[in-house]
Amino acid sequence: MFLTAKGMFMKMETRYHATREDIAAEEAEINAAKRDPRAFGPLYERYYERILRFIYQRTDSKDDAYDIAQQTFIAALENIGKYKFTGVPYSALLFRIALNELSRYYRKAKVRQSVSIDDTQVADVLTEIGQENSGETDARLMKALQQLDPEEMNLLQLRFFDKVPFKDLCDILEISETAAKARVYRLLEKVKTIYTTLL
Amino acid sequence: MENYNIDRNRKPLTDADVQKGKNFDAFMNAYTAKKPSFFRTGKFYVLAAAAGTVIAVGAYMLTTTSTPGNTVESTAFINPLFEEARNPDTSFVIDSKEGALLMNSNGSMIQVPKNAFLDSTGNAIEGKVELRYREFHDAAKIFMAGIPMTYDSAGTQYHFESAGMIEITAWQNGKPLKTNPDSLIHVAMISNSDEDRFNTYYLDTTAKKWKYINDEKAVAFTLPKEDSLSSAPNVKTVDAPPVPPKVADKNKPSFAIAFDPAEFPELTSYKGVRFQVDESATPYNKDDKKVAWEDVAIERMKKADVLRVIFTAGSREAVYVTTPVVDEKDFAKAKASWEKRNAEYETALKAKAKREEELAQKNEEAMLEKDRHRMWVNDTMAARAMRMRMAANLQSSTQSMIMREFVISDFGIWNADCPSSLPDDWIVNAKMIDGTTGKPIDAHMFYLVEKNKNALFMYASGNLGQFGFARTADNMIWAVTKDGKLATVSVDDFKTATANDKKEVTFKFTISDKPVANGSQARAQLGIPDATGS
Repeated sequence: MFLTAKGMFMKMETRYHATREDIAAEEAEINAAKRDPRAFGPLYERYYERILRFIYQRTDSKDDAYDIAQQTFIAALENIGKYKFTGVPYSALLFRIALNELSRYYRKAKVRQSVSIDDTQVADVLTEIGQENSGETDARLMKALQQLDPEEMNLLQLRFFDKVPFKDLCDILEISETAAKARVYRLLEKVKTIYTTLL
Repeated sequence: MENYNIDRNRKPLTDADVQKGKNFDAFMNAYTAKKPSFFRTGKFYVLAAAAGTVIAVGAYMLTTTSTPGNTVESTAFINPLFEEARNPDTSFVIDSKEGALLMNSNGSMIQVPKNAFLDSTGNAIEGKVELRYREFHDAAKIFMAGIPMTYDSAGTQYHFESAGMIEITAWQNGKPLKTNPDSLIHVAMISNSDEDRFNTYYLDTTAKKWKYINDEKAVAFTLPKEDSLSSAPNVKTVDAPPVPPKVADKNKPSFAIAFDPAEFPELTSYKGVRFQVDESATPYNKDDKKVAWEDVAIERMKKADVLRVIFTAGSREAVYVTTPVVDEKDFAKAKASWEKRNAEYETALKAKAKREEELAQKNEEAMLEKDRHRMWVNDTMAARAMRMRMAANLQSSTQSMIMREFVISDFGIWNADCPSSLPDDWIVNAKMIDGTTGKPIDAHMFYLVEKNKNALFMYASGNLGQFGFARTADNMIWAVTKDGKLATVSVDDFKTATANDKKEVTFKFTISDKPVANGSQARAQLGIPDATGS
């Protein structure tokens, strides 16, 4: 995690794909955790911060973020026996579980999905849809985003706010890289269309 | 309508915020609380109804092991079958300031660095230290030592299958010592398994439970087989040394024969060579000169300048021991020729020796390099173990050695284990009776043992209605009666009892006449001979 000069931009660590040695070591950790839940420790320690920050970007309060992060790891550990190692970092599964837990939280708490954005991220999206960055375009984009469905908003956050590379995006969403690119392209087209109709 | 709560430019979480939430122990407590425990499952209540002693059975399974009531004072946690079963296999005396690299009789290694010991107050000590050590590589030894092999993780009870266990303690003047965290002891234990499904655990005798240790070194490593240096291949052979010429003795018989120079190059040093008969070995028969011999053969004898010549004609044979000689007139030239050939021979011989040495060295370097690649570049425990074995001349091993390394952060019992559930291939309502009297066996615990598997599956006496086992395994049952006697069901008796696949099974036990007093007696009844001498 680092802060830009503007101070408010949080870039999610994009080192989803580690070295072969790291991934092999992680497989051993997963297998150890399958045999003994207490062996889940190294995985928890490695990914807790990333998952917590990811969740916090999508919730209103720190307490909710702590709770949802805990639920995420509990769900991961409960299902670790079924986990099939395929050479993909374990973090991809954790992010998927986190998104599910967030959905569950929004439904149960009957709250709107939270989206944390800063000015730089807004500017990036405006550039993607071919618009200049101004107070007016900013406000219009915020309105346009309100018309996305939850799955589209998740994709927008992952790709443009969290800056997840396509290769890692496809691991999280369990789709091919081609499909991930196609989805992002369609998403931008939709945002552009909605933005245009808000004249 | 707003579907999302968009928060602009919110401050990210600080590191302190992250640390506030990051607590693995708290996480495990939450995980355990969420997971239904054995007590709360329907399965438990069914068992309880059958047993009629709910709380006592459950609590007993999770917190205690069997308590043999023999002469050994019960400690309620580690309960050896007899006093001897507490003893270490071996002890080493070392200087605490010097450290030592020790080798157990089976090849396990213990690396003791300098200043590895502290006293009970945490101060460094000086002087001699006694290191006591033992290993467990079969279920019988674990059972005799009374070491609990159940493990509770997140509300689930597991039974350990061990790939090898050690107990290591240090003493000075009869007082137990502690480890020095700045100078930890490493143990490379010989293991019976190279599978990677085993984790490292430490037996916390204060908390009375096994503790999972996250240690990559628990993974088995294999020491390579010791390859013998191959003989130097492809070294050009050198001809036999040229025979020095001698002047013919006119008083001794001699003869000339044609021979193949390629076959006897040592004789080609000089022209006109004749074969002078050694009459002390083979008397000369003048008549042999008149015979039209069909064939002649020359054989080298032990001495380089002595040749056996064999003449044959049909069934007739004449054999002479001879020395190659030249006439006096030819001697000078022959000698010169011999000297030249001999010099060439000496040079060829030296070149061959050098080549052999180079190849031998190359082979050794290649072997060491191969070992280095297979092991580790740094001076690891495995490399040290290998060198120590070679130095101790333990090179007759025909098998690769599998070892597991423990980093001894605390003295006590360390284990390479795979947590397992109770077998459930076939579940029966088991009755445990004395095979002689027919009376029920009066024991707290019954241990299901699969022969050749280092696992003790524990069944409390109240849980025999769900006695599970694997039908394809060689199963045995062990128990210690409340009066300290050993009760066992052998592999054959187990098979007999379970032959008909019924759900109600009566197991007939053999009970020792009195409490067993030593390992030999125990092993004889348990049916597991001591393969390690321990």
